Amino acid sequence: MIAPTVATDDADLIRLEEATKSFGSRGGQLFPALRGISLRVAPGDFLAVLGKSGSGKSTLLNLIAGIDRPTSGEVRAAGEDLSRLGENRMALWRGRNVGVVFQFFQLLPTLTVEENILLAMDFVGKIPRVDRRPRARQLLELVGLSDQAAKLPSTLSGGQQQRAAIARSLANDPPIVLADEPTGNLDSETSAAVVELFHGLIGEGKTLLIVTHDNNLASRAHRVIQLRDGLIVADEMNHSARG
Amino acid sequence: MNTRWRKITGDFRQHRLQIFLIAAILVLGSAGVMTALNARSILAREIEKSYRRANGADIILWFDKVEPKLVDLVRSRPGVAEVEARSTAFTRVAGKSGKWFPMRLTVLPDFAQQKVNLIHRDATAWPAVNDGILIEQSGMSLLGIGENEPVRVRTPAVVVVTIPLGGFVHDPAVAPSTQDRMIYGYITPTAAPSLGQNAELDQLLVKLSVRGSLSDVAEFADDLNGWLKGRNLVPLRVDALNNTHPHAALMTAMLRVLEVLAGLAFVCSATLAACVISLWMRREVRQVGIMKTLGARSSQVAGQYLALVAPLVLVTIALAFPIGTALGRWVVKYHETMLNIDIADWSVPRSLVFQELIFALGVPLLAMALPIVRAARISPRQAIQDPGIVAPRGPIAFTSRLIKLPGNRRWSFALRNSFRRPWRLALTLLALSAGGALFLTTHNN
Ligand SMILES: Nc1ncnc2c1ncn2[C@@H]1O[C@H](COP(=O)(O)OP(=O)(O)OP(=O)(O)O)[C@@H](O)[C@H]1O
Ligand SMILES: [Mg+2]
Repeated sequence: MIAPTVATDDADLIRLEEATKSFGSRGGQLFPALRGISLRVAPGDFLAVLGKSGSGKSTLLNLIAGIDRPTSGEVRAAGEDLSRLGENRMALWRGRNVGVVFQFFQLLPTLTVEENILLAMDFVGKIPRVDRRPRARQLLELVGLSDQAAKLPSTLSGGQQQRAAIARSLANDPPIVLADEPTGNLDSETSAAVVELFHGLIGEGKTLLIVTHDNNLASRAHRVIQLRDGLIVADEMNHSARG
Repeated sequence: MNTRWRKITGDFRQHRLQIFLIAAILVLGSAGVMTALNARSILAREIEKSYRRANGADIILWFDKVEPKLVDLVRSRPGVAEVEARSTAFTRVAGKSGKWFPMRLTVLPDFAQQKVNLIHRDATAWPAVNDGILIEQSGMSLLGIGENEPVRVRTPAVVVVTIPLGGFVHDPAVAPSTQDRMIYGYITPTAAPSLGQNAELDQLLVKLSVRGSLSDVAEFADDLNGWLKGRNLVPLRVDALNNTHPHAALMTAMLRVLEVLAGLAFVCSATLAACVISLWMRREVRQVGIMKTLGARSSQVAGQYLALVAPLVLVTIALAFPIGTALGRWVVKYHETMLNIDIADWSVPRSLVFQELIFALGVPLLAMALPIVRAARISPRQAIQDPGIVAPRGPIAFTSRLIKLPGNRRWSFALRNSFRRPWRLALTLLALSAGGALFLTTHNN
């Protein structure tokens, strides 16, 4: 039932060709976390990446985010060949094109929720200075945290922190949003709200790639990828979700 | 305010204890090194200047008796600037409490007409009648006798006589009486007989117009000796003199030691500050990872922490500078009495101040920038996967596995932790020992 998406090169927002990633272990042996991944993602798509622990999900996500580099193969995203970018240009590219959300809430502890969003804009400089504060307010409203803007992250609940992190991932209006088990640390009720939020992002024209164990979240995806031992073993369209 | 500055001030508030610790370490180190450098520069200059004021003799010729005609004869020699006849004798003087002290008694022709080995009185004129004794001011506290009070002196015939104390003088060419346990007294030939001393002078002090090295002086002394012999005026003995303060060499050596120790303490303080920063940076790795994920470049991340550290260094300098200046003066003041010198000029050369500022600014900044830049350059994947404090590798892992204390596991844990970062351990020990050494030197002199 493997049904690869048929798309022209130009239409792909993310494209991996035979991407591998090996980690050197203590003993000096190489451990292959990804063993030749080819993947194409069209703009506006919503992918869920499933797989057992250690199957390489986070590694795949890190390659697409430019957080890590492939050992071999090609990774292209948002019009850039990531292997050609130096560390600094990669950072800038990431800031402009990818929003990343992790499992563990990753807000900077000494800044308020609003300032966390503003900092992301300050680092990248994509959003004009005058628009930054209004945009931060708007994003907080989107995730339902308008009243928490001036609070420090430590005073927020887990679900609120994760929503704030999602708002921050959108700070620079990136076309791609990547999330690594965003609901992994939340109770079912809070995670439902976060799932809803992600689903809403499709309407904003974002392309989503979410690593998850959460069936509820996976069922909302347009496409579900299964990883096992560093290989894609299933790639299915989820027709019920498209409607 | 810009959000990046908001983060810097927020981080400052959160880590204020660490930051104050770093500041305190740096203030101590910088102030210490400034103290030592300032003191040495002032003292090196002023010891020399104060000693110059004495117009110390370069050569002493010893005779049975020096006639005025001999004085004129030697003065007329080319290369001779000044000549004066004197004599010295060693005797004893009693303090107010009745305690006796050895005294070096110098007989000189006229207080108001001195030519070489000058003694001076600050702001007071010489006594009108030259029949009293003048005493070097550093002996004042030992004797406890006031001006115009009688002084008891033992004559060569072992008789105790009294003579009025004409006043105190400063002889910048001698070490202080308190240190040498020796009183320096000065009389004229008029007063000499009353102390049982010969009124006739037997030494000829010669000051050269151009003094070269000691061997140059010795050569001149030889020539002079030969010339005098040719005129049948044979000196008993000829001494070419070093013409430096008696404790100058010792002083210079001591100040060097102080300087080296202060330098060591400074380097240690900078390293310690760098260690604290490095520890802090280890705990910041996650935040570095987050910032990089947000699109921050390494330079932006480094700037974020450097902007916190740079003002800190400026503040430490602002504190250390006045402390160093004050302590430097205190050290100089202390040595002013220790060395029996006059400090006329307390200023530190501007170039030295400039160098001190550059060093006190540059070294800690560089030392702290190192761990910051290293932390900022970590790859984003490593940063977000960082497990926190890492296990030791290589030989350190081996040694730490060897450390197994019987009984209490907590001790093994503590010891292994100290060996996890052997550099840190070494530096802490070094800093402590340098501090201790500094403490000892300042208390030993
Ligand atoms: N830095 C690293 N060094 C060595 N091995 C690594 C490193 N990062 C990941 N691995 C290994 O690569 C494999 C894939 O890791 P990855 O984190 O991608 O798994 P995952 O699918 O995200 O698992 P989980 O669901 O537990 O998060 C694992 O076997 C892991 O041990
Ligand atoms: Mg993972």
